[in-house]
Amino acid sequence: MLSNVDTVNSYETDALFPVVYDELKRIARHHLRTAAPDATLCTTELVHEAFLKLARERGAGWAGRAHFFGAASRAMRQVLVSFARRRQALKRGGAWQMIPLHDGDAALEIEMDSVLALDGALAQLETTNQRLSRVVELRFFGGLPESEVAEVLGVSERTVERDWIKARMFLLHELKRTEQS
Amino acid sequence: MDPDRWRVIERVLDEALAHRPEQWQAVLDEACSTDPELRAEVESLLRQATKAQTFLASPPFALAAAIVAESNNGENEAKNAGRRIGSYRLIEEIGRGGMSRVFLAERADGQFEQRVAVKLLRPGLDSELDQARFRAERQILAALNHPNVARLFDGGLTNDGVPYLVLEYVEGKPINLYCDERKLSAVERLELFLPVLDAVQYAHRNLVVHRDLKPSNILVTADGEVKLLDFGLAKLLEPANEDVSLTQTGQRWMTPEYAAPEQVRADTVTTVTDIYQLGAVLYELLTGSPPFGRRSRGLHELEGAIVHDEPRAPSAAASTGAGTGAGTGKPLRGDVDAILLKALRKEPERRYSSASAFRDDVERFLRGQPVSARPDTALYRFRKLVRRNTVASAATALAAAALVVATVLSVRGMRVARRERDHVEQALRRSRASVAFESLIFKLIPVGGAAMTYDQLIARGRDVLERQFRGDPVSRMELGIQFAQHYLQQGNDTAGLLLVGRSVALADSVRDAQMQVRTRCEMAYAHARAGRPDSALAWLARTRPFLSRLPDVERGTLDACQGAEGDAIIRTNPDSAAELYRAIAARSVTAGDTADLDYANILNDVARALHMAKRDRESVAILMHVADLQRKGFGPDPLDQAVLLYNISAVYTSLGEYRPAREWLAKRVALVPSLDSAPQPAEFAAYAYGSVLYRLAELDSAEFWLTRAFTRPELLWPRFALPAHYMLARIALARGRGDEVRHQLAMADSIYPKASKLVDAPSHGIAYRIATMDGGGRPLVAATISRMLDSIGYKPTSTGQWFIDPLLEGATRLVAAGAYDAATRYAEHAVRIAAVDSITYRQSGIVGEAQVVEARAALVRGDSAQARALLARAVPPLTYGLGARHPATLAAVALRDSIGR
Repeated sequence: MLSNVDTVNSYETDALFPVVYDELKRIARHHLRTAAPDATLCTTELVHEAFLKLARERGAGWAGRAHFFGAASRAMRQVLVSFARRRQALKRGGAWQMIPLHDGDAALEIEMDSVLALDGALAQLETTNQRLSRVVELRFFGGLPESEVAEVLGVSERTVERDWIKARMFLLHELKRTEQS
Repeated sequence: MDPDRWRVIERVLDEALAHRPEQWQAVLDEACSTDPELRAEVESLLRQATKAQTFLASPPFALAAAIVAESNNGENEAKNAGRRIGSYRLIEEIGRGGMSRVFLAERADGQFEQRVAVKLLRPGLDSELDQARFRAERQILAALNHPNVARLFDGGLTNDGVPYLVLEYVEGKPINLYCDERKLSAVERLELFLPVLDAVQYAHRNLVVHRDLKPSNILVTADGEVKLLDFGLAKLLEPANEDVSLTQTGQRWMTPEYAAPEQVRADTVTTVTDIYQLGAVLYELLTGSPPFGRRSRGLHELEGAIVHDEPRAPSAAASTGAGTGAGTGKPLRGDVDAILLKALRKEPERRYSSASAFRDDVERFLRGQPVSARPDTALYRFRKLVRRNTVASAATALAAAALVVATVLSVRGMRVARRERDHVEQALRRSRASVAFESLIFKLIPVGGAAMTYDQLIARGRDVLERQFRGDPVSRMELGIQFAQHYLQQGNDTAGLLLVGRSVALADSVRDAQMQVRTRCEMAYAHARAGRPDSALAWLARTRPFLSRLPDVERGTLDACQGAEGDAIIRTNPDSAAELYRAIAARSVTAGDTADLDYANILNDVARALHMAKRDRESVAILMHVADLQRKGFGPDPLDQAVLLYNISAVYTSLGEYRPAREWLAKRVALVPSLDSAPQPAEFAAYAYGSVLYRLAELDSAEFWLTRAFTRPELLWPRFALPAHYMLARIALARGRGDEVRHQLAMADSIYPKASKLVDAPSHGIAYRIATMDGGGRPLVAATISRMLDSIGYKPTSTGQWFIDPLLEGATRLVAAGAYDAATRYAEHAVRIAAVDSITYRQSGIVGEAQVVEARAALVRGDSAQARALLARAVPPLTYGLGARHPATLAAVALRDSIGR
């Protein structure tokens, strides 16, 4: 089972990237239309639903559900990181003439910065202990509950629980270290 | 990290995590005994354990959706360059945000060279946009013309329906970047902020609120010129639907770092919201970070802090922050702290009431003059406590509409609060007593607990402070007045007067002219409260020579003197008292202090005096004005709101307009039930509501509320308890519950001695006795009623409202006994008392009822034309005051119709 996830290659992730992206776009449009009061909660449910649907549709060609979730979580991470990078680049372009007449979403900027920082720390974790970084991808970027992460990785729930806390300790530690330096 | 090293660390980490945190030390002692480096690494990981529990708790899907949506819009907009909008051609995109894209543009018709910024608002928004309002708001904004406000030139909808605005193109940098890049000192930053405050003041004067002030909306050009952007934009884009604006737009438009507490709570946003945001921006300029940090700490946490936490003093924040406060001659401590914390207060009414007041203080600081802002201290909490305990004993009761006693309560915070602000704070501070006072209060008031009662606190505080300041007459004088106020509020006149008297002597001994005036005013005030208006006036007379010697009378002193005089004469000459209160209110208006609770309170006093002067119509107009101020967010203290709602209904009751009175009381009793503290216990409202319902003939509800008024019988004033017992007796009588009737009458008798000083007290019992007296022959009935009215001091020239009920009950009995002349006389008199103005003939239920009695007397006399005329006149006021379905109205209509036939 474990091999399933480890064989997720960049090709597969790239293939899922536009799918995840389109899903997000659809969900975002949905929000604009309905102006849901609790967007966070709603989005989480919608993405879950979308993932499950995709897993059913594509599961066969993707060496099973576990494999699919591995790739989808990775794609979610990449969507976030690539947009955060793009935004950062845009921000750097010509400081003087850039007049932020209205940056209605300064908060978004800040979150984008922390997405990039998290991605960096996660890269460190990847070289240190790959399984821990997988747990983070599946749990956080994939939004899977611990039981499903355990299923995908083929380990016990207890192990996932332990890995998840260790991974977050590592990441916080790493973020603090880079912040200080 | 090296995977091998991690494996070693992880093993120890696993071991530790298998144990409880308090055992970690022991685990590490054993596992790392030979490797201190390992131990250090594991320990630093374990330090993250608590935070790790909540870190990355929910997946970032909403964020992902948001940026995908945003960049998607961006791609569509990229096609915009070169596009023509109105008479402008877009050149390039120069800014973007969640709500809009901004383009540099130039005139497309080439008539003259002008560069502008064109702001395209987010596509999709137009569907929610109220276009007529968008146009109207745009015109208001286009009229703003101030050197520090970026102009709005034009605007409209593009061909595909996207709203756009054409704005002055400002080549500048956000004010925080500008300051940092030029390494400006704190003083230079404050100077740069003055034009910002000017611009906001200008916009506010033109009734435009910004709502989204933040560094990126405050640009500074290369020449150092300040320009504010996006004034009124938040409102302009607000959808017409209010529900949406409260939840969605409110959030959408809020930049959390600079949001005011009322924005986080989605409460009413006013000009004072801008004051808060200005405070937040200035805070960042001086300390390097907004008052509660940034969103990176977590949005919920940030919002929670905005609503609940007190910001760190800027001086403390600056020393650890970006260090921007450094390099200045003047420290941030003290005055600048006070200025910022005042602008950042949670309660809108406690901030600067205007941008110009804010500016004045900044300027005073820059000039080295004392500022008006004072730190929010325990003294404030104490004062609040004082205020809450004020009204109960201070409120003076007034006219009575017979059984329904309409007592307009006073919110006596006004002068207490102002004098404290002007004198206690300054004088105490001068004499260093405040520090001791505050620290004492800190020690004595347990936060969130009630370890000590208010009285114990005062007694102990007075004791400690008098000892501590034995050799310091100025402080003792101040403290004496403070504590005297407490005793007076509690009805302990002797102790109160004694303390004030001591302060007068102290003021004379140190020859402090300002204090000599003030302590005498306090003396007058104390006497007025203790019900000795003559002594009060005598003290005021003694104040005058000192007053004329003072070169500059502080506003607070003047307020105190006029307030005391008003209180002294309110019974004998309420018209003049109203004028005195009005003068105090006028000074608030002149000083621009109307956005605060004191102003509402003094208006309440004006209304009280007008009510006592039988000018109820004017009184109610003023109270409505106060209600309006409250609706606009100037008086959010629910306690004062309770008094206000009560007072409005009391005046309506006095006018005989029971239906409006009932509506306002319904609002009052619907307020938070915990509002049962001393100034306005829930029992008062229950009493008032019950008596109005009684008048409206809703006897079941009336009985319920009147019974509720006795939940804590000791809290209900005798002036309320007495009529309440008679009403309950009447209700029981109507229900045939004899025991209950006897019980209520016995209770009324037992209360009577406590109420006997009240002018209206005897009338309740007499009205009851007249209504329930045994029948008898006509001469006997007439003689008995006449004797009973005599016993309460009734004369044909009486004007007291408390005579109305005995008169009407008497007239009713006399009609039944056939004595129509006397009946008509009494009923007519009742109308004269009740009809305070011409409107009452159309709206007062009392007038209507009295006219019905007159009509019945006319019928007995055989004058059906007169009866018909009287009934025709009676029906409209009955319908208005009591309602179309009230038994009295129905009976009057039936009677009228029967005569017609």
